[in-house]
This record gives sequence, C-alpha cells and structure tokens, in this order.
Amino acid sequence: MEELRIGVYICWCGSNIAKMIDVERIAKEAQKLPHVVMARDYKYMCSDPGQETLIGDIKEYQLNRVVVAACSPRIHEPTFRKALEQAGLNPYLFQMANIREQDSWVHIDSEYATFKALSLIKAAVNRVQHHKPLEKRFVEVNSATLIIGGGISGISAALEIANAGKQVFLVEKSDAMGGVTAKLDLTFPFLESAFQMLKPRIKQVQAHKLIDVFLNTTFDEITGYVGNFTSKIRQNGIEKEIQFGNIIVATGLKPFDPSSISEYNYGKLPDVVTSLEIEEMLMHGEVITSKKKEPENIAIIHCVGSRNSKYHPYCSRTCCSTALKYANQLRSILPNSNIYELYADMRSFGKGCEEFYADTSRRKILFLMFDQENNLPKISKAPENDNAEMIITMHEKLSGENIEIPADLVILMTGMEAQQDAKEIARLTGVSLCGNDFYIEKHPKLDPVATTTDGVYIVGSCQSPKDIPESITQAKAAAARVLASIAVGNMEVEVTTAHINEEVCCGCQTCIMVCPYTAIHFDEERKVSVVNEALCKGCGTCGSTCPTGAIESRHFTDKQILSQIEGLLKTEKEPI
Amino acid sequence: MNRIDPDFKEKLKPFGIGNWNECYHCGNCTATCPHTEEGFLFPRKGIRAVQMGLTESIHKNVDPWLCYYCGDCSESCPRDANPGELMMTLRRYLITKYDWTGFSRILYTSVPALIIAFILVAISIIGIGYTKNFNVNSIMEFGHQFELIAILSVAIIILLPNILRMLWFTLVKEKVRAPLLSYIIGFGDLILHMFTQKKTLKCEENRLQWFEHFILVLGYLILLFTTVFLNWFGTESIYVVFLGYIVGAVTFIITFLFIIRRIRKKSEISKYSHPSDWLFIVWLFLMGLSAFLVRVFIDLNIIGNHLWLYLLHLIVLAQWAVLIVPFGKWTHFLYRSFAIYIAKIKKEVLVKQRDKGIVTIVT
Repeated sequence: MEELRIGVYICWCGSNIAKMIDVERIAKEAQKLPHVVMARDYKYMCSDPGQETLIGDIKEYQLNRVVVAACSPRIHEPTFRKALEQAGLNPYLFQMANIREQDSWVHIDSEYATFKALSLIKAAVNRVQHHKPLEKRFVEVNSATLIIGGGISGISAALEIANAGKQVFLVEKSDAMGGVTAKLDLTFPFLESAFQMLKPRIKQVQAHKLIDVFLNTTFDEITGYVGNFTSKIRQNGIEKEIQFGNIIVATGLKPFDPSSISEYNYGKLPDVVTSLEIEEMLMHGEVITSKKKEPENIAIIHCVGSRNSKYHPYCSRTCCSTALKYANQLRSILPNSNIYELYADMRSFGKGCEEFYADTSRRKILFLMFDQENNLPKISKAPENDNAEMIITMHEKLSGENIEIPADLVILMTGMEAQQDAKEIARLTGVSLCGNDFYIEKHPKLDPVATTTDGVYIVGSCQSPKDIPESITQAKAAAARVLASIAVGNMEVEVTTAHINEEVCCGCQTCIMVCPYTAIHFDEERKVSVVNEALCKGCGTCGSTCPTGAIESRHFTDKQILSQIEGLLKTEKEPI
Repeated sequence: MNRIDPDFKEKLKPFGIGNWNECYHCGNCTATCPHTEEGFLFPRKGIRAVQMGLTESIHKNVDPWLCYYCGDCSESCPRDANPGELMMTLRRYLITKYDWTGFSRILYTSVPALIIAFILVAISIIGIGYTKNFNVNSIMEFGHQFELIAILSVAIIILLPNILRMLWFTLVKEKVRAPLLSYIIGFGDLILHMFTQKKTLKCEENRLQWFEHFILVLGYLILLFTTVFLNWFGTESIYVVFLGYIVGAVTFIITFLFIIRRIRKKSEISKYSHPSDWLFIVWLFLMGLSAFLVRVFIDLNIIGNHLWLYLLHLIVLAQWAVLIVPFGKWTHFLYRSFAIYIAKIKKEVLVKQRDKGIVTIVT
C-alpha cells in the first residue's frame, strides 16, 4: 500500500469561521496529526487562489488524501472534488469537515468552538485514510419519452419534444385529451376562448407522426432507470410494452368537491353551482337558475376548499382571477344583475391580472370580504315572501357588520386538489408526494421540474395548483430537460451506490422494503437481492438495515464511518 | 340583519360627487382624521357602508355630523375616492332622511322643484304686498309679524319633529340605554357646541375658518334677535340701530368671503358645491345685505320711495325662513349639535360595555 500523504486546509470563510475559531492554532495542531504532510489556513478556500493553493500542494507534496475544514459539503464539496480532479487525484479521496454551520455559526464560546473544530478535523483525517477511488459511470439514454396525462401540460410537452424529432408516448386515462382546460369557456385575463386555443394543439398531437397517443390507458408497471425505462400499459384490456428514456408526469388536478362544506349546502340547494358547472353554462351561452329564470342576484364565493385548515391549507391560485372572469362575463350577459364577489383576499397576481381586477371592479361588482378560516358565509333558502331565492349571511370584514345578501345563483370557486390516483402514479414513477398529495420537485427554487428520481419530471397542476401559462412554461422546461439528456446521449449516474456481497446476502429482502427509490430487486434464481445502480442514490438505508452486513454503501463503508467516529473521540475532553 | 343594497350608491348620487367605488380601504383617511376616536371610525367605515348600501347603519350613525370637512382625508386618499366629500354627501342625505315631510328630499334632489318653490314664495310675498296696496308701513308691519310666526311654526312643525326623528334613528331604535344623568349632562355640550362649534378647532387647517364661521353664527343670531325682538327696522334706539348695522355687515361680508372661496375652489372644503350649499350662503349674503340696505334707506328716509328694496328683502327672508331653514342646509346648525350629544351618550355606553367585556371596540 502506498504511503498516506494527507493535506489539511482550514478555511476562514472571511470572518464567518475565523471570528469564532482560532484557525491558525488549529492548523498547527493538524500538522501534528499522523500522515498529515501539509496543514494550512486560508481566508477563502473556495476562491480561485484557494483552490490553486490546494492544486499546487497536491502536486508539490504528492498529497494523496485531502481534508478541507470549511462550510457545509452541500455547498462546496463539488468545488473541491473538481480541484482534486484537476490536480490528477480521484475526487473521492477527499473529505470535508463542516466547521461553519456545525461549529462557528452555532457556538458562542470561542475556546470550545476551536476544540470542536479540531475534533471534526481529526475525524475527517481518520476517515479520509480509508477512502477509495471511485470511477464515474454513465448510462445510455433511450430517445423516446413517456408523458402521463393529456391535458394542456402533457400536450405542450409532447409537441415540444416531438417537434424536435423525438418519439413521444402520450398516455391518457380518460377517453379524450384536453384535461380541465377543455372544460373551460374563456381564459383570464384576456378573455380568450380556451377551446380555440386547445383544439388546434390537440389536432397537431393527433396528427404528429412521432406522438403515439394512448387514450383510456392505464399502467400495469413501470420499471428501469433513467435512460432505460420499460412500461407495461393497458389499453381497453390489452397489454402493451413500451420503452423510453424519460418520463414527464402531467396528471393534472381534480376539482374540490364542495359538498363537504355544510355552510354552502351544495347539492341541497339547486342554484348553488361549482365553477366548472358555471363554465358549462357559459359555454352554452345561457345562465339561468333551476326555475329557468335569469338570476337577478349572483354571488361568487372564493376560496371554496382552499386556505382553510379543515379542507386544504393551500391557495389554489387560479380561483380569484377566474372569479373575476365570471363577474365580467356575467356582467356582459346580464347587464342589470347584481353581482357580488365574496372573497377572502384578492389574489389576482400575474401579468395583466391586477389590471383585470381593477377593470372588473369598475363594472358594478360589489366585493365583500369574509374570513375564510373561521367564519365562512352561510347559504340558506330564502323565506317565501323574499324576492331572492337564497340568502347568504356573512360577517363582512371591511365594515365589521353582519350582513345579508340576496342571491338567486351562487357560484362556488372550488379549489384544486391532487388526483385520486396521485399516490399510484407516484409509486409507479418513484416520485415523492407532499402532505397534500402534490408531487415534490427536486428543489423548490433551483430545480422545479425535475424530481429526486433521475429521468422523471413533473409538470402542471400535479405539482401544485397552476394556471395555463404556468403549466405550459413548466411543460416546455421539462421538454427542454428531456431533449438535453437525449442530445448528450448518456447520463452520469451516482457512484456512491450500495453494493451487495451476494455470498453474504441471505435473501431476506429487508433492503427491498426500505429502499425509497425502488432500486433493489430480488433475483429469484440466485435468491439474493440485486441493486440497480442506475436507480440507487446511495442513501445508505439498505446498508444500515441489512441484518447480515452484506450491503456496503460505497464511500460510506462501515470502516470509513467507524474510523470517523474514532477520530472524533480521540480528542482530549478539555479544550486545548 | 343588515341587508345590502347595491343600488344605494345610485340613490346617493344626487347628494354629491364621489368615486366611492375607488376606495380600497387602506384606512389613510381614518388615520389622518383628527376626529377619529375609538368606536367611531370614519370616514372609511362610511365609505364601506355606502359601497355596500348598508342603509340601516347609515341611518343609525351620527358620524357624518362629527366631521368638519378639513379635507385632510381627501388629500391623503391614494385613490381619489374623496372621503371628505362623502361625509358631506351623507350629511345632505341624512338631512332629507330626518325630515318627516319628505319635502327636503324633493328640494335636494330636484333643481326644477327648487326653483318652482322659490318662485312660489316670491309670488306669495308680492301677492301679500298687493293686498296691502303696497303700503310701506303695513307691509313692514306684516314683515315683522311674519318673521316671528315663521320662526315659531317652522320650529314646532318641522324642526322639532325632525330632531326627534334623528334621536329615534340613532338612539331609541338602536336601544341605546344610558343613565338619565348622561342625557341631562350631555345637553351642556350640546349648547356649548351650538354656539361655539369648538370641535372644529380639532381640525388644524380650520382655525381661521372656525373664527369666520363663529362670528358669522354670532352675527346671524344677533341679527335675528335684533330684527325680531328689538324691531331693528322700527326702533328709535341708537344702540339697537348700531348693533344691527354691525351684525348685518358681519353677515354679508363673511358670506361674501365664503362665496368667493367656493368660486375659487382652492381648498377641499370649497371644491365641491351642491345647489344646497350655494343657496345657503348666497341667501344668507342677500339677507344680510338687503337688511343692511333697508336700514340705510330708513335712516336716509327714502324707504317710502324704494319699497322694492324692502319687498326684495322680505322675499329673501321668506324663502330663507320657509325653505332653507326647515328643509335646507340651515338644519346642520341643529343636527351637528345633537350629533355631538348623541355621540357622547353612545360612546359612554360603548365604553361601559367594553369594560364589562360585552363588546370589543375595534379601531
């Protein structure tokens, strides 16, 4: 075995670390540790001169292990790994000690903080001695793409990919494309027809040579990993197999069912309708009550099922502007009617929407504010002698008064919820769900279309409530990501994966149950578990559960972790 | 329960100009208003009540009468919703609401009706002059008696019932229960305000205006007293004649200033003039001026040859006494004073209820 030559670098992080930790003293102490050839402190290790120092030292002192004590590895581990690579050293022969987030930022006693920093460095030095070089791995990417859901998001993504000359399989569980958009009359804020916008795009999809549309189709299974997925789909009872390299999930939304809100009496009072029901009336150009009369008083209630801890805590984002759209349309159809908007907070954000709100409010619409959490309006049947069919009672927040509103037609602005089969699709594709059953993106800000499963993207309202332009934006972003991976042709996959020693494996399959990425399957012939390294994220869950110790997580081997702990405990109990 | 009336805004339109729908309830007006107090929130709440057409709460509230139109609210309004003018509009509306005859409503909302009423009164006076053969002495004697009779009958038949109606809407119907003593003590404030308008001083912009208004009220009341009870036009007393001249001059000079201000429209208070505002100051001006000139003509001993002047004075006086005083803006003299009385009682009750934890006062 070659001689171990370790370099230790202590970063000041400006004053972030240096103001609490005596970096110079630590550097001196580190120099005394076994196998440490070089120990330095530097103002900003992540800066170009910092990295150059590191690279220079590796070459000059023939370092073969490097420890950097600085910030969180989440921030700069990739930076230093790259530096090692540049110096001709395998990037995994590196260990980071987090002396900022876990030390200088959270402690107030400089002596103890310095002591802790040294302990963390000793742990890292002990661990890095057992690091092994790991090689990068790549997989080929199948250029076909599976899109689940034929709504506006799915259609947009399909066209984008197919127009770039790549094969698309568009799977839709219902018998028609268009999703919720197909049920809308006009769109906000420019009052354009949804149908006129959607119809030509559906036609394009149907006519496209590179798009195979599967209506009335469900999934039996999806297997494989990024670049190489296989799925068994079932259309009208007939099973078929398709192969593809990426998946775009665009399963959309389900409208909230308001019958659970007792205050609104939906289903009991015939003239209390949902937003999709009024869309249908508007599409037919006739808004009438159950008694076939033109409504004189129309109330539009916002936040139905949204922003209320009893139903859904989140905002459905599109209802406010949609409600304004109804007010506009109804004002034009029924110029003499009284229109009331019962709102909680007006959230008409987005391009053109605030202006839309301002314009609408000048069209003789009365806005009344209620408390959507504690005090919902109540709809009841009006007494016989009343002019109106229904009476809404509510506490109006801006006036502080309890008021009574006459109504002949009430429109409930029902919010969006996750699809009923959201869990099923999540299981098939390996996507995670948030508490409200919407799919979770890889990063809420930096990566809002990818998921933690490589090659699987989420677009449209299945991720969170969205309007049409937002859904299309996300769809096209996902399409670009898919096309980029196809263009490269292969993909780098995780190297710090789990590895099963088949001679030790007893075939208990505990690892299969705990794997969050469905990356392990059971080999029936040899009676052992097998890791699909393209799917494995190296989380280590299987390794720690395995009763026989057959599973080793690369870069997190037992030896590495134990030696790190040993190093941590080596330090004297008292501050230096 | 308060039923909303979305058409109320339309009903209010004849009473004033306002973009009340523009208001988005930022509350700047309430914050700048020097008269904002716990439990009495204006002008924002007034605007909200108008937007929603909460007629019941508009009728039961005296808030508009507690505003002296300094205009701070309108100046600070980011949406140009004109809260100051809204309070003025509501005052005009409430005058017609308190009036049991309904005549006030007609005069406030219809200019043709207003002109016809004024012409009819003028014709009646000329008719009476005709029956007296246009004899100076008998017409002046009639004029003197008319004043007294008009004051008494207007007070008893119109003003008193209207005040009672105001009390009914704001206290009785609202079931405000205060100890008897508060009702009695409150009267002190009522009288004090009636003759001093001292609450106006809370509005910093209005200091000069308060002074002008104060001496105008004083001048007007003394003029009334001098002509009716000291028989200014018939007296021989040099003191009474002199006093009459002074208060007559005060009346028409101050009103002249007010008229100029309304023409120039420089301050918020004089920007928007409803016909009722014009009638009020122009007639007060004409009354002061004509009374002044009549006495000058008497002293120059030429009134006999210029009976037209006295007839003109009498016409102005009659129009004032039977139209503007009972049905027009004159009533603000009473309603403002009573509003302070009512507000004080209401607030006492409110504070007591709050201390007992029955209500919370929202500010």
